[in-house]
Amino acid sequence: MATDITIDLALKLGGAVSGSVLGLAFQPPKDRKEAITRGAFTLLSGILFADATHAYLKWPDSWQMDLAAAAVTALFSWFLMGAAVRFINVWRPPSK
Amino acid sequence: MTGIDTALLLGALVVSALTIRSNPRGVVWVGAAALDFIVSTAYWRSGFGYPEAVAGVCDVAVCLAVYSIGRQQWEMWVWRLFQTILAINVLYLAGNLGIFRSIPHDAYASMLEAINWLLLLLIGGMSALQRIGAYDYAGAHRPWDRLRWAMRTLREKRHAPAFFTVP
Repeated sequence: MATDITIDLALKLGGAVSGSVLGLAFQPPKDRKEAITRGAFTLLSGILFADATHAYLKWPDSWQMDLAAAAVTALFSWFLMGAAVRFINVWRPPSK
Repeated sequence: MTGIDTALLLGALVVSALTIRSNPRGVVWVGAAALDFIVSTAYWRSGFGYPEAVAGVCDVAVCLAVYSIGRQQWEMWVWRLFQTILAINVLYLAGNLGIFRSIPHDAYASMLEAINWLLLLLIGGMSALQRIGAYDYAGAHRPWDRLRWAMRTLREKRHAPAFFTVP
């Protein structure tokens, strides 16, 4: 019989895969290299930060919401990282 | 099957008949759209859970197929239309799960219906213009000459290749 942790992980993985595939359908990468990087990043983000997203958005506790949180995290993680990288690149420390 | 479903499938048949000679890939996309419509509607009416998610899975499959196989600009427009259908399904699912305010079912169905007709209009219109030679430079006196620019743009090779063809 599957334990709670296994079910939780399976839900997160399912959600992360859904989010990654949705991201691929909405905004495809430019080349194979970006596809691999993006795929790995969004999958990992979906699995690792799904709980944080779930808690932050204060969604009710159900398996559907676990899945949705992982999907939303995976879908938006790449765009959020892009925005963060741009922000860091634009920001310059004040010159002495 | 309701009258609306029958009208849409009849429309798909007419467009396929118009398209089959001049633009065989158009028939493939009409067939894909029809299959997507039939599978998602049949699942919806069977009463199983989360029909909008199943419709979304079908849309993702068609979206990725058009993106991968499409060669010309008009196919990229077909892809954009399928992306819109997918976005509507995702928003409707999110509404039903309680993430957003839920969209009324009639509004959801009407939006999908309108996009399906737009899709048929795009593919059918392309084929009709192609059959009357609106893209042909000979015969500049014809009244549909103004359509040439649009036709030329739609018949152009797609601008960005599929990502898996770029190393």
